[in-house]
Amino acid sequence: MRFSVERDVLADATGWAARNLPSRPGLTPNALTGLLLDATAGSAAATGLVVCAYDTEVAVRAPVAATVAEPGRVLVPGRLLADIVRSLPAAVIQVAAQGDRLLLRCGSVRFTVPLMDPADYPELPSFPAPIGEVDTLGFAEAVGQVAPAAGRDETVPVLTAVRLEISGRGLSLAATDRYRLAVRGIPWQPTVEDPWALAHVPAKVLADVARTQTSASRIVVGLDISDPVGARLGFAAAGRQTIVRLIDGTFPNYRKLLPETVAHVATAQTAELAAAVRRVAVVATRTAPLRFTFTQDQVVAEAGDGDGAQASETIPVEYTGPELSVLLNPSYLLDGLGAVEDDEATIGFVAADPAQASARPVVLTGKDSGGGRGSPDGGAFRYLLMPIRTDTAS
Amino acid sequence: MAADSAILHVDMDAFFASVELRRRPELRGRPMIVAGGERGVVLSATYEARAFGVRSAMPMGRARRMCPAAVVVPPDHAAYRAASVEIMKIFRDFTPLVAPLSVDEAFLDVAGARALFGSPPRIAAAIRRRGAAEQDLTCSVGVAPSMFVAKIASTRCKPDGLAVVPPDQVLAYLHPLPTGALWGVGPRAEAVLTRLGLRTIGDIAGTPVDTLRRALGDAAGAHLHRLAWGIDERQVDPGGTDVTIGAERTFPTDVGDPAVLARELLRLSGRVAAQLRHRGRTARTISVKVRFADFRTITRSRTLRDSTDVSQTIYATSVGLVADLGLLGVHRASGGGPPPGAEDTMVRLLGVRASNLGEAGPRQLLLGERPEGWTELERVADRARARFGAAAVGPASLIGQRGSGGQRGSGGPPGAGGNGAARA
Repeated sequence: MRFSVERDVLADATGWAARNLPSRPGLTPNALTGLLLDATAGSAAATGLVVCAYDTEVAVRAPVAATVAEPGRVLVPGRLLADIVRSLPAAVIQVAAQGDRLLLRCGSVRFTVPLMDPADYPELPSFPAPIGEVDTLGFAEAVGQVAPAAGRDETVPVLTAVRLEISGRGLSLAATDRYRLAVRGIPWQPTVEDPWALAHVPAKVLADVARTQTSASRIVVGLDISDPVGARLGFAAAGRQTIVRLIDGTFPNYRKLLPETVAHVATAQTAELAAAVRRVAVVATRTAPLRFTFTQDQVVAEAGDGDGAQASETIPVEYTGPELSVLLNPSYLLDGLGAVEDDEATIGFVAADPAQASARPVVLTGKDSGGGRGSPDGGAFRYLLMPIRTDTAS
Repeated sequence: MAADSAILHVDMDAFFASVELRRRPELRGRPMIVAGGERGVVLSATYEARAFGVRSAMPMGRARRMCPAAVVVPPDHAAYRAASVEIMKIFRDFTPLVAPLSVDEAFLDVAGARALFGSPPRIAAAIRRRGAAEQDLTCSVGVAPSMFVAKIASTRCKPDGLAVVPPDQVLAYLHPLPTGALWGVGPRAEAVLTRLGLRTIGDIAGTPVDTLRRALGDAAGAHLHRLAWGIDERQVDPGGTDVTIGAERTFPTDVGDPAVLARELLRLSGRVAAQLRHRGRTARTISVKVRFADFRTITRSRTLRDSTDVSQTIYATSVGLVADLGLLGVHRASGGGPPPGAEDTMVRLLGVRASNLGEAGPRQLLLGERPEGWTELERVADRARARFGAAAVGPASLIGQRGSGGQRGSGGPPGAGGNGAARA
């Protein structure tokens, strides 16, 4: 195998693919720690090279514009290759397999890397049949809003997923770690008739897809439910493919948690409130809550305990309801405020009785995007957050 | 994983029996059994007695039939505790990172002791020498990069042995071993694994983690897969954060009545929960222990999604675990399982234990959670009991059942059973 390629082009592809190498090498067959370089002869300067990574949950393919002099297929220690390519100067790299080593030359720089046996490398799943397309920026925004609410604890795998409901009307995204819930609906363009599917996509993978595949304006979505090992969803943009195995399990019935109405609403400047929360949270140790007390047109955020450091800040809001007080996890609240796309955020309280506010969910939305957008959950971003209770509060 | 094997698991050989031999040297070389407890079980036996098949926790009647020549000695727990203190002192001469697992075994992290005492295998040898010279007691030591491999190694070099597993040989060492050698694989899990055709730890390592999750449950499947690849990130924690809180009861006569078992679980769960609240702790893992009339002992555990100090949650979990054993009459409806009261389902001892403990503090509520639930109710009940006495308030099904709940479990080593806290 022999090819030449621009350093920046290869570095982009190996860097992207290497993100999907197994994060715990000891837990997977050794071959999967490699990046597979598959060079096929074709028209010069076409995408003759494909870089692949596979960690049994996620498979990625990145085509690379390379000039292939001699086709071939090699398996290279993945992180090492990505590190080497990134370190090279911006120039053309000559890559060649020589015996059991890979030789990389770039100007006066020369690296040799021992090759791994590609015979041990499992066959990558093929890209699932396309079912539609979604706008890249809109998708990235929705994923960025919803994915932070997914759980990180692997003991309940389905909660580490974003629940993606695919229908003719739109894509509906939801994630919850059972302490908070984020939902958002977005339009898409199905390319099959009457699509309907439920997919539990690992939130980490989805966030990665949304973050990195932004060079193309549209992302192709593919779905394969025929694989006996488990259903797979595929995302492709600008030739780059991510194929992810879906998570089994029953997602909580989150729709019944979404309140129809709220009893009291406060409206705050999103950025101003977030800045105040960040400031006051400096004195809140680890998981300690912040107390928010809402009175006429203001909210006081407080943190700290009697013996240690304390902080408080008064933030102007639009609020006409009764005085009420609630304890919230500051990082959960910041996840929600960070996801509100409007300048103004509304904070809704479900219970009419202010005494019950400390034990009922808080509903966060953008002020202007409250209306529906023609998808099952009304489209707009909504974030439900349960308060924290102390034993003394009752 | 450490760059070197620096975790030691030290396990005293036939501890109680060896302590007894120090003051009865005339019994050396002869089969000898330490036995006791309310109904007479083997607590410890010399290797001469073990050669006849005598094992710990075996009923004395059976042990005597196997080895009629054995000398039987009553236990002297004070002497064992004193010996244990001296042994642990030796460990602490080498490293402050000593985590006792019970009176006769402990994990040591000696990574920081190299400069003073040499390599971990040298430290292990020195500990064995000092134990023999100063306490006249032998022990077996496993040296490995992680706690669970060290424990396997010490078990496999018993008695009076030393086994060193370097980091690059962990997989070669583990993979040929039977699955039952893994921590957490009891007879039931072993049967499940055997049905999948998995006989060795290497077989587990070569199985997709999803397959294991489906067969054994999410947490256990993933955990075993990690262990099979030699991955165990627990640290030797001398602070005793791994304390467990438990309660158990040996029935005066064996019980087969599901209602009596369920009531006992309720009482034990209440005691465990009250202890948790009293100590300001919460638990994520609940386990039950069932010892049958024939001394088969089964423990089952379940890890909850959220830590708890609520007796209703502990009760519901322990009832679920015991029901899974077919002991609460649930199996009758489906036609499976033996009828209650049959000889092999009579229960001698029941225990409930909480582990995986954390500090109780402000509690993040769950979506959809009832605002006023069991947590609040039980705290109110705690306050009532503190003011008006233990009988002031309690579950209705336990009314008129007082007095029988105060007994401690018997037969276990001191500190490991009963109502107190024990290290795990």
